[in-house]
Amino acid sequence: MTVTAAVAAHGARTLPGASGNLLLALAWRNLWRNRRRTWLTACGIAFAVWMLVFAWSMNDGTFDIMIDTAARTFSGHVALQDPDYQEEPTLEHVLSDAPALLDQAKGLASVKHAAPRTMGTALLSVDERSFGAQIVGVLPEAETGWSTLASSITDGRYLQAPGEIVLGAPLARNLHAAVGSEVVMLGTAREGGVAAAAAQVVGIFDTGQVAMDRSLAQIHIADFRDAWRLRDDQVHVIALVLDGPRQSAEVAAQLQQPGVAALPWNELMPELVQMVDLKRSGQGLFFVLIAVIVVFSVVNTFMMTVFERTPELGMLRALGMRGGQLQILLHIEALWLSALGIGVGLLFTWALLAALSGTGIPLPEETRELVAAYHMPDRLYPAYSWGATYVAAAAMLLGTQLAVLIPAFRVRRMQPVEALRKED
Amino acid sequence: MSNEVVSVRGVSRVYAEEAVPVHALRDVDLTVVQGEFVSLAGPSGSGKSTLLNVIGGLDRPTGGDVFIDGVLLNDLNDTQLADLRLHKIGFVFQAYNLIPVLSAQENVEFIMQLQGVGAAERARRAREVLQALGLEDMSDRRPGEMSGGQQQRVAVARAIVTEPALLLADEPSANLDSRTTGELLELLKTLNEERGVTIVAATHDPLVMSYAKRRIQLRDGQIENDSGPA
Repeated sequence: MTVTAAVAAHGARTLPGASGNLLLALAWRNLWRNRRRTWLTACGIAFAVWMLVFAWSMNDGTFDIMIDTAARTFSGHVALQDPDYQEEPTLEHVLSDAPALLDQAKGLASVKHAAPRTMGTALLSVDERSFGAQIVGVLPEAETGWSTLASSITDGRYLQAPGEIVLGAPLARNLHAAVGSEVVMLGTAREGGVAAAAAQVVGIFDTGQVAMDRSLAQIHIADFRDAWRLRDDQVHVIALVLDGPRQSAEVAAQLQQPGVAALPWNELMPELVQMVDLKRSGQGLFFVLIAVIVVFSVVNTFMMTVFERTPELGMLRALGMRGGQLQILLHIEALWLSALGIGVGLLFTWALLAALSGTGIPLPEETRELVAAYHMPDRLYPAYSWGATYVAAAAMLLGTQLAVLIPAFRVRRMQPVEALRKED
Repeated sequence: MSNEVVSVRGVSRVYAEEAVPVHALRDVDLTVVQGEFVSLAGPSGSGKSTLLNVIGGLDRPTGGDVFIDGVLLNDLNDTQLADLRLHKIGFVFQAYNLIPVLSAQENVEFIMQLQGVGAAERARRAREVLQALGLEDMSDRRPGEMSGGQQQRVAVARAIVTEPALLLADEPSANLDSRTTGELLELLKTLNEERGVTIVAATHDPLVMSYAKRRIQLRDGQIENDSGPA
C-alpha cells in the first residue's frame, strides 16, 4: 500500500457524521460554558421569532377582520357567477338554474349563507330629481343575518317584500328621498327593452363606504326580474358567506364547474389584496432588518467562542480532528443555539397569543369611532400564522448557520501549533 | 527499516516570519524504533518542542524528511496529517488539555468517535483503559473535578486508547508535583515495557529523563548528545 493510500484508508474511517452523539453532546455543553452569552444570543433569536410570528399573527387577525368586513358588506367570501361576468358585468351574463346552484352551495358545511342577486343599472327619479345608480335585486331573507348593508339601516328598515327599495344615504340625499318616498327606476332590460319599475323607500343605509352608499340601491329580486326581464331561475351572482375568509379558496374550488365561475374574495376584491400585500412587504422588510441584527450578534458570539477556545480547538486539531469536523462542531453548536432561541421565542409567542386570542387588544379611543364606521370590532384579535412560524424558524436556522461560516473559516485554517501556543 | 516508528532525516525548521530568521532546528537526524522511551531534553529554545511538533505532524519542517511509521509527512496535506495524528500518534500535553465539558470517560471515548468506532465498542475500550490506569472511579468526573495528576492520567488514557504507534509527550510533568510526576512516569514506564508503547517526551525535568531509556540532548536546534538506543 502506498503512503497516500494508507492515509486515505485512515481518512475513509473518519467520516464527520460517524456515530455523532458525543459531538452533539459536546456542542450542547459547549453552549453552556458561557451561560449569559448563550442566553443573550438565544434571546435575540427568540425576539426575532416573536417579532415575526406575533406581528404576523396580529396582522393576519386584522386582515381577516378587514376582509371579513368587506366581504360581509357586499361581495361575500365567494361569489358564483357567469365566467364572463367579472370582466363584463352586463345583464346578459346570467347564471341559469340558480336554485340548483344554491342547493349545491348550501350543501357545503363551510357555507353559512347563500344570497342570490341580480344586478343592473338604472336612472332613479324622485319627483324632479334623477340620479344613476346600481340596482341590486336581492332576496331579503337571504341577506339579513350576515349582510352589513342590511344591518346598516340608519332610517326605516331593511327590505321585506316586493315593491320596496333601500337607498344609500348619500344617494337618498341627492334624490331628496326619505323613507316613504316613491322612486321610479328606468333602465335597459335584457335584450334591449325598457326596464321600468317603481318602489317605495323603506330604508336608508350607511355602510361607511361612501362610494357604495352613493351609488347603490337594493330592491326585491322579484321586482328586478319583472322589470329587467329575467327568468325566475336566473341570477347574476350568488354571494356565499363562510365562517371566515380563509376557507374561500377551498369552497371556490369545490364549486368551480363548467359555466360557473366560483371566485374567492381575493379575486373579487383585488384592491384589498394589494393593500394586504403592501403591508406584508413592509413587515417582511422590518423582519429582515431584525434578522440581520440577530445574525451579526451570532457572528459576534461565535467569534468570541472561537477566540476563547482557540487553545482547545488547537488541541482537538492536534489530536486528529479535521478542520471540517471542527466546522461541523460549530455548526451543531449554532443549531442548538438557534433551536433554543426558536423554542423560547415560540413558547413566549404562543403564550401571548393564547392570552390575546380571548381578550384581544383594545384599540385606542380615537380609533374606535373610525373602525366602528366600517362595522369593524374595536379590538384586534390574532390569527395564528403557521406560515410566519415556518419562515421565522427557517430564517433563524439558516441565519445562524450562515453566521457561523465566518468563525468556521478561521477554525478550518487554524494551525494546531499556533492555536496551542495561544494558551501561553 | 520495518520497526522504525520515527525517522527524521536532515530536518530543519526556520521561522522566517521573525525580523531575524530563527533556526529552531538545524539538519537534525533521528530514528526511533518501536518500543523505545526517548527523552528530548535541552534548555529553552533548544528546539525540543519544535522537534516534537515536527515529529507529531503539528508543524512542517522547512527542510528534510519526516517519516512516521513509514509514512512521509512532507507529502501530506492538512487533512491527511490530521488523519495520521488520529490513527498513529497519541499526544500528552503539558496542560493536560482535556475537553472541560466532557467526563473522563467521554474524553477518552471522543478520540475513538473521531475514528468512527461504534458507541458500545468505544465505551468498553475506554472503561478498560481507565481501569488499567486506576481511574475507574473518575470516569464520570469532568476535568475540573479532578486533580492535576488525575487529569494527566486521563490524558495518557486518551492517548493510548487507540493503540497508536507513537506516544508524544510535551513537558508532561510541568504542572505536576514530584509525587504525581513519579506516578505518571511509572505509568509511562509500564506502558512502554508491558505494552511496548513507543514514547518520545520533550522535557527539562531530570526525573522524566531518568525514566527514559534513551536520552537526547538538544542545543541550538541540533542534537548535542544522544545516549543511543538502550
